[in-house]
Amino acid sequence: MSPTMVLYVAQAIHGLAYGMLLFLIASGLTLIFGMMGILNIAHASFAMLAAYFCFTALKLTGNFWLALVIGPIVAGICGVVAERFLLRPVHKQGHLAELLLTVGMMALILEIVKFFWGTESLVVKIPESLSGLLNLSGLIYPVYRLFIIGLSLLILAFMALILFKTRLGMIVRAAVSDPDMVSALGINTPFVFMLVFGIGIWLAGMAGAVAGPLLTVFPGMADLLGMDAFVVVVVGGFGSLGGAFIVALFLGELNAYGIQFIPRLAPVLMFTFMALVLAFKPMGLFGERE
Amino acid sequence: MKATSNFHGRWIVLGCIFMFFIFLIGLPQAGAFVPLKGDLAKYDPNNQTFPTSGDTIKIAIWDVFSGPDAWIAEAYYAILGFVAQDINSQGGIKVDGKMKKIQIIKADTQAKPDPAKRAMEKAILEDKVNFLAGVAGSHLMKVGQAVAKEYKVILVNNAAYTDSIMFLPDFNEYTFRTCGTVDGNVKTAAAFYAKRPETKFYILAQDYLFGHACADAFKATIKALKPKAEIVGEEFFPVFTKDFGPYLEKVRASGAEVIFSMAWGADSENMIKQSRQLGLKYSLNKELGIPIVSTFLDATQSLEAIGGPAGRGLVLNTDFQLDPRRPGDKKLMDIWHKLWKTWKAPYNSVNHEWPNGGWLRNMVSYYWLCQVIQKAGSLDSQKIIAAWEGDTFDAIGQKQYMRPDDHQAIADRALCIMEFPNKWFEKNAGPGVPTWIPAKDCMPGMDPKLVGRVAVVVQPKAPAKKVEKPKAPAKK
Repeated sequence: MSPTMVLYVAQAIHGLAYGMLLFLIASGLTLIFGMMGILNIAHASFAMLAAYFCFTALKLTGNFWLALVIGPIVAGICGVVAERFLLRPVHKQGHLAELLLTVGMMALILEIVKFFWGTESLVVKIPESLSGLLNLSGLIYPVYRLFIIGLSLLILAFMALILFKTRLGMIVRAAVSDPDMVSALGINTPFVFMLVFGIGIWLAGMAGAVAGPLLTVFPGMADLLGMDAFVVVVVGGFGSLGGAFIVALFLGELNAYGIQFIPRLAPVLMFTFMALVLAFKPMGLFGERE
Repeated sequence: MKATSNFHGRWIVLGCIFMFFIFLIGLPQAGAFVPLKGDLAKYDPNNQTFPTSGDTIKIAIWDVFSGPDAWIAEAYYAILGFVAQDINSQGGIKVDGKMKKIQIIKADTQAKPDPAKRAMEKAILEDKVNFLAGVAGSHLMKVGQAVAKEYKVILVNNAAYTDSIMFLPDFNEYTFRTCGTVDGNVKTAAAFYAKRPETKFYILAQDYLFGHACADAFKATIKALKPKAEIVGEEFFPVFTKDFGPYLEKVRASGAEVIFSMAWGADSENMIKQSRQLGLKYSLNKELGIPIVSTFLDATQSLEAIGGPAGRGLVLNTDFQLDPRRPGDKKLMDIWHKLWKTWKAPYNSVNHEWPNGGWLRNMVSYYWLCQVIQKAGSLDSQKIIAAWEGDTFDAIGQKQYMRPDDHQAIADRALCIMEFPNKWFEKNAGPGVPTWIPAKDCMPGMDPKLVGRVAVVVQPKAPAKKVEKPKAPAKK
């Protein structure tokens, strides 16, 4: 490949990797909103929490793969507990109360992180097996970023399988469409809500855990991840998993090629695009629910 | 027998006279502290023992004591505690004929202008502090300078680097800057690269005032010092950027030999970490990652986050650097490191292992302030100003001189190429032998309107320094 072609292809893969990371975190957010109608402001904080759990698990076991499994699962369990004991009691007060509660949860998680892990940056190292570089016809690319792309696709396939090929998925989709009717059919809706919230947090946790070696694990990590994930969900349409996937990829590429061709405007391209979408399609590109 | 007795008596009298003269010579030195001579074995950052009431010299650490960056201000508090322990154990400082000990007060800026102003006013009005020292962020320092002027209290700037805050109209005589400046630091980097083989530079800086100021100063200086130098790319990224991949891909394509960044915090860590992950190499030595120049590599956490080998070849562009070749630095390093091994969390981390970089910068500023108080023999602001202008400090760190016109510290500045392994840290890259750039080659700029200010304001009758004022036009 010519140097120019190498540069453009590399930017495309950077966009893809970043888009996949965005999708991982946004998918949980959109799933929770779609099912429960809760805009979980603390979503990125749970991702950060998973990164910290991952760090601790890595320190204790010395095994990255085990830490990658443990971190998100423990964060998911925290999500289940938060739904059961914090969100559910205020459910009757309406979505505004739930929204405010998630703001409080965000602050609480930040303080917990600072209390247990301190305020300094922590190191999550890439394992030996993923730390090299691949040379693809002159294109030098890190294996770890390709791993992020692969893992995200795997999770997407897993989610699609659960949602479209299982009874649980059918219930979840039905509950997104009409939660009252699902409840009237004898389904334990609160339990399904709790499960979905846990899975949503687990997805955020996966994003936090894989982002750990790429970014810095520190108390500001949630702020780094949160805003872009909200843009993905807003543009893709609240509750639309497919929308989140397509928009995350698009925004990833927009960021990479924006930096390549119009770097001064690149930081605002994502927000400009969101403003345009909201102006013409207030429910997002693929949104069905207000 | 009688003669022998007289002989002995004469010697006794002469001996008494000699001792009396020795006493007289030593008298002015009574109460004078000497840095690092105190009982530092009792110093513990977790259990500070300075007096909390009584007739003391009150110094406030005016910085961010809340939020994620609180640990930095806490570290400054610990460092001032070290200085206080040293001086207090020597009896304190003689002020108005009386020995007074140092007391430390915390004033939390919350990193925002309004709370910062309120915290400073509370420290002055309620806590009755005599001096304040801070602060990270030139926007906050600007606020602090105005408050210092209003209440006529001395403010020591040991962390705000923007040059213009010491220019008119922001400059006032109550503020002294003991740290470097953007202009001075960038000139240091340019002077360093003027004598090295690298010619292709890529500017990758944070997109706000500081990043742009660094970039502009570097472009101007490197071009002047090294006409062959080429800026092969210039990008400004938002503060707290996550993915540096697209930026670094452009750096790779440009063939740059050095990235000039000056980024701090998470941006610094992420940029360095991702540049290593992407395999960007130093074209003049393929064993090393691409050199990234920054003032903020002295934050050990950044180096720890990227891992030891990845830090090799980074270039620390610092205003304060320990150099074991200097006796004062060697003594400080030995004392501090021995104490560090006994400390408990959070002071037992690598961030506190050596009193280097930002820690040294603050320690020098505190010791210097105390030296000035000792010299003035008073807490009166005007006497402190007169004592500090033109003063020098040479106990630890490189020799400092306080330029009287604009209250800017002038000193040689260092550049260090980071090495791994090194004598500082087990797991991190650490600074190699410093290359010292003489003060004349990295002199911070000064507002031309301030040149000769001291001659006019403080010593109006001194004929040697008199500055002629332009004649007022004749009235019709």
